[in-house]
Amino acid sequence: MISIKNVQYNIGKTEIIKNISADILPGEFTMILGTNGSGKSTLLKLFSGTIAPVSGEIFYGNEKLSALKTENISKIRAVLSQRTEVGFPITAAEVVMMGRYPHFNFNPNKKDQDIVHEVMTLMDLEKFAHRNYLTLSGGEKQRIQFARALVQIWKTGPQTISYLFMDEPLTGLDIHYQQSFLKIATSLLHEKLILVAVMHDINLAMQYAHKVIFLKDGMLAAAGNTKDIISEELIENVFAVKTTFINNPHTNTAIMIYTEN
Amino acid sequence: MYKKNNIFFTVAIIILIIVLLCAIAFGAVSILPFEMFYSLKHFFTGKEPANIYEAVFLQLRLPRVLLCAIAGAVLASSGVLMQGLFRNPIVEPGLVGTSAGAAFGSSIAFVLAAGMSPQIKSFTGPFLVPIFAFGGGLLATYIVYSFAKTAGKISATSLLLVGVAINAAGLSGTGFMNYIARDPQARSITFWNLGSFSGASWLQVIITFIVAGTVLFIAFKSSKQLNALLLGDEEAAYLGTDTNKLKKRIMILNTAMVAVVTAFAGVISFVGLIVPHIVRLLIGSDNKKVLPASVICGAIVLTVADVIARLLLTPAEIPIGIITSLVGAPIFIVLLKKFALLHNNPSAND
Repeated sequence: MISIKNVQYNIGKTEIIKNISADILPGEFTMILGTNGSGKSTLLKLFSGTIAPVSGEIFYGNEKLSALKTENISKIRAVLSQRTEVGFPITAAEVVMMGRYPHFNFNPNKKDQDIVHEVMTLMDLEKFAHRNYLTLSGGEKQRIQFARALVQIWKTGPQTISYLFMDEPLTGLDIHYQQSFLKIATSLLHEKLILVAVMHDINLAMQYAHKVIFLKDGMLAAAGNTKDIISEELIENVFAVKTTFINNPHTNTAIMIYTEN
Repeated sequence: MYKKNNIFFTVAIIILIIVLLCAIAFGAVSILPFEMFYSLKHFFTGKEPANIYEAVFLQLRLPRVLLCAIAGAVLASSGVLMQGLFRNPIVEPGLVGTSAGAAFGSSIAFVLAAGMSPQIKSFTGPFLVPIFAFGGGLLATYIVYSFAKTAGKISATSLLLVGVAINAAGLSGTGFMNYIARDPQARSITFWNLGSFSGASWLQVIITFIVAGTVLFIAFKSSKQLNALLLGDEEAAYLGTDTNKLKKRIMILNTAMVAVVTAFAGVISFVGLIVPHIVRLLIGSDNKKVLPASVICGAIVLTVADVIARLLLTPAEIPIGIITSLVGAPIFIVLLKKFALLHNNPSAND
C-alpha cells in the first residue's frame, strides 16, 4: 500500500499540491484525473518518488519513501512517462533491455533476456525488436516504453510489492492500442502490484479503473471507488462541462456523453 | 548482432596495427621493419641504437605515433562521453571551453617564457606550456559548467551557449597575448592552436597513457549508466542511476583527460565530434561497444591525419589541426543537417 499524508508541493511560491492525503491499494487500477494544471503529473511524481514533498510524508507499506535507497526502489518501481525520446539510434530491443538495468551489473544474464523476450511477445512487439527506435511512430515508441517499464518489475518475487506509475500512457495510441494497452495493464494486475495512471479519458476510466482520484487546483476533488465517485455533478464541478451518463448495452457499464453544444 | 560486432572489432584492430606501422615507417626518414625490430632489441638489451634510423625510430617516431594514437583515442571517447552525458549529438570538448581555455593558458605561458631568466626556464623545463594549458582548460570548463547550471541541473542548451561565450573570451585572450608577444612567441602560439605532435616525448606518452587509461577504465565501467541516460535524466533515475553523481564524475574525469592531451598536442578539433558518429553508424549506440570502438577508431583517424600532416608538404610539416578541421568541418555540417531532419520535432531537442 502507498499512503501519502498531508503532502504539500510548491514550486517557488506557487502551491502545486495542497495538503493531500490518500491511500493506494495493491491489486487495483487507480487512475488520477483532473483539469490541465491541476497537479496530476506532480501527484504521480510524488507517488513514484521522482520529487520529494515540501511537507508531509509518503509511505511504501510501512517504510518512508525518503528512507529507501534509489537502487533498491528501482528494482520494484517502474515509471512510464508521457513521451520518451532517445538522442541516438538504438534498437527497440535495447531500449526494452534498459528496463532490466537495475537487475544486472554489466551484462544481462539469461533471465533478463528471457524476460525481455517474454514481454515483447506479450505486447506484440517482437517485430520491432531490431528496428531503430528513432524511426518508430509515437504510438510504437510508447508501447516499447511500456514494455521497458514492465520488464523492470517483471517477476519480482511472490512476496514483493511492485509499483507501476504511468503518466498519460495512452498519448499517441489509436483506439485499438488504447484498449489493448489498458487490457494488458489490467490483466497484469495481481495482489502485489500497485498500478497508478494519470488519465484524461473519463469513459476509459469508468471502463478500467477500480479507484479514481480527481484533482482540482491541486486539491482533492474526490477519491474512492470509480462507480461511487464519478457522477454528472462531479464532472461539472471539476471540469465545468455538462454531461449525462447512459448505459452501454453491450458492456452494461456507464458511458459519458456531452449534453452541451 | 554479436557476430557483426566481433567482425567490426577485429577489422578495426587490424587496421589500427597497419596504420600504426605505416605511421612509424613513413616520414622525413623512412624506417624499415627490420630497423624497428633491431632498435627495440638494442633498447631492451640495454645497448645504444646502432644507427640514425634506430635512433629516429626510438626517440622521435615511436613516441610521436603513440602519443598521437592515444590522443585520438582520448578525443574520440571524450566525444562519446560528452554526447552521451548531454544527449546532444553536437557536443565535443571544444564546445564547452576546454580547448579555448587551454589555448589561452598556453599563450600566457609562451609570453611568460620569453621574459624568464634561463635559471627559471631550466627549472620549469619543457612543462611550462602544458601546465598552463592544462590549468586553463580545466578552469574554462569549470566556468562553463558552473554558469550553465541552473537549479542544480545542467541543460545541454545553456551549456553550449555559455560555451560559445567562454570560447569567445578565451579566443580574445589568446589573440591579445598573440598581439603583445614578440614574433617567435606569436608564431609558437599560432602553431600551438593548430595542434601538432612534433614535440612528442616518452614522458608525455607515459603521462597521457596513465591518465587516459584510468579515465577510460572508469568510464567503461559506467557505460550501462551512460546508456540509461539515453532515455533522459528522469528515466535514468528511475532505472537506479544517480544521474547528478554520474554527470559530475564523468565530466571531471573527461575534462582532465582532454586537458592533458590538449596540453601536449595543442588544439585538435572535430575528432571528438565525428568519430563517435561514424562508430554509432557502424555498430549502434550501446556505449559498452561505442566507447571501446571509438578508442580504436579515434586512434586510427588521428594517426592517419598525422601521417598526412607529415607527408603532404615534406620536408615541411602541416599542423595536424588544419587537417582535422579541413576534413571535419564538412562532415560536421552533413551530420548537423541529418540530425536536424531526425529531430524536426522541437521538443526532442532539449
